[in-house]
Amino acid sequence: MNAIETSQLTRAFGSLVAVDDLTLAIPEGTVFGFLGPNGAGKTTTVRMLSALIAPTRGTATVAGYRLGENNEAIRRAVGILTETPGLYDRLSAWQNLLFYAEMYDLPAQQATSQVERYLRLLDLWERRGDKVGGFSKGMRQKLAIARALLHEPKVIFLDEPTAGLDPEAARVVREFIKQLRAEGRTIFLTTHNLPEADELCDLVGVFRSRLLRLGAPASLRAGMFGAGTQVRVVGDAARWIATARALPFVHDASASECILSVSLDHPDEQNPALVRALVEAGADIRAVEQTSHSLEEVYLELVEQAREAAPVSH
Amino acid sequence: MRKVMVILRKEFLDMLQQRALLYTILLPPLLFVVIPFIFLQRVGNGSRASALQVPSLQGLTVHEYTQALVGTEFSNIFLLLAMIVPSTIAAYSIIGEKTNHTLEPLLATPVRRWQLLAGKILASLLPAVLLTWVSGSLFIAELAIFTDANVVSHVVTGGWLILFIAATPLLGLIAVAVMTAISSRVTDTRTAQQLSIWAVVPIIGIVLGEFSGQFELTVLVAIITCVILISVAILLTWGAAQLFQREAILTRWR
Repeated sequence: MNAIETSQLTRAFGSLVAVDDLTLAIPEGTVFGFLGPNGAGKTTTVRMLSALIAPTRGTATVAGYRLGENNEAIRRAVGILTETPGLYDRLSAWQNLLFYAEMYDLPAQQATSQVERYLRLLDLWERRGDKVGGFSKGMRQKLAIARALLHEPKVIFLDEPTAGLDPEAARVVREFIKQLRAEGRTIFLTTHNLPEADELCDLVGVFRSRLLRLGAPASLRAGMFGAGTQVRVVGDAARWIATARALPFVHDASASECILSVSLDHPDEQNPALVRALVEAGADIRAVEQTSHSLEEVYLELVEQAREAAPVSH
Repeated sequence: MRKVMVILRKEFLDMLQQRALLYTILLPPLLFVVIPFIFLQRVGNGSRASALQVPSLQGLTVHEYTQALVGTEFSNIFLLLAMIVPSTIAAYSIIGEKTNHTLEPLLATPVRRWQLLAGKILASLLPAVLLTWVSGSLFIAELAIFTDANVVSHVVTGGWLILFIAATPLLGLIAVAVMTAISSRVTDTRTAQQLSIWAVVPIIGIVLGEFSGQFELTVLVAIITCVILISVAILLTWGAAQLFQREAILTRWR
């Protein structure tokens, strides 16, 4: 079952179309990375899906509730970490969370136990009585994440959860997201941190007002750049280009000094045959490895293509 | 109603942590109690004051007339208080949420718009009404203790009492509604407070009208004023509720 489904979801502000024709399906228990440049419409999408603003056109179902028909149920079923933590600085961590637990209609006893649970989980229990205004950025972010989870939502929207955090705090947050995924929650992660998206996400959508590409990080990489293998040989690799090209599963081959780059579809299955052919032809092989493109390369390529196709002004 | 109480409690907790806000809301009522006390102690023969010939104070001796004049001036100030205090609290409460970016997570909860607005309004209104009524009662007690017998009945008239009791929450509501409207366009509390000063102009009109003899604050005038204030309060609160919508706050508020 899908935790989030949208069909032609569109939101315009006057003549500016912030989100155009967004159609996607995110299965339950997935960490979905929503990637896009600033001003791409990511926050508008999150606001629509968390029933904060209405779409101009299109439909969406979140946690089984249809947007526009049961918005209060959607708000009850989702947790949201906004771009800025938005905490009450003059109140303590405990008071902040208790207020939100009550706003999410948790009964008094459950509210206090949930507040305690998340303060302990996120290592803030010792500071529960301190005013939030004195917290570090990492502590504030952790508290805001705790706030988003108090009512045990099925779907969690996290907007830049590690932005501005030091590496240690960012790691704690990432580990926590993995823990949430292990609990089977659906996470809609908006981030500019592409290695983080690569590490955490099962599914990513590259977005710039429109959905440019949707898929698992590995399939996006393969789809964009194709799969490949690099063979490090003794001597000039150009001598083995013809041998590689002669293989039926090889799309192309090129060489640079001692490295032979071979484009093929399934490196895991086809590398043994490739290596065998090269050895039989007399090549001395030092190393074989699959070519890897980062999600960042995929993202930059897609956004650049979109920019050239349809410039968007914000 | 539970959520309104939850919001109210949070607002009060937050308010208690803001010294500047506490001074701002506690100082005016305190001054309006202390200053008349000093004036009433120092009232002279009143020859200059009596030259104003305020119609509602006719028939008093010169000394009583002077005391009553001071009393009447300050009695009307309590109507201003009913607007100043709530607009100050509302400015901190609504604009504070806006500038601290706490509105979006709050709006993302399953709170209904009316619950949030009611919580905000009551958080501004309750302390204001309480402060106005308490300080006004102290003022009446001062009059009873420190002025001649005739003076109290000339200052604390039926008309004034009706306005003091019934108009205080209405004026407070109007002030909060105006502040909500201002909050949708302004990003700092100081500017909001400066703009909200205009809301007290009608009250100053009432004071000046009474002193210039344009009208006397009789029971009938007070009732008519209250009826008008009820209409204005309903209209402005409805307007504030229109501005206080999730989408409007997130996309149109500056």
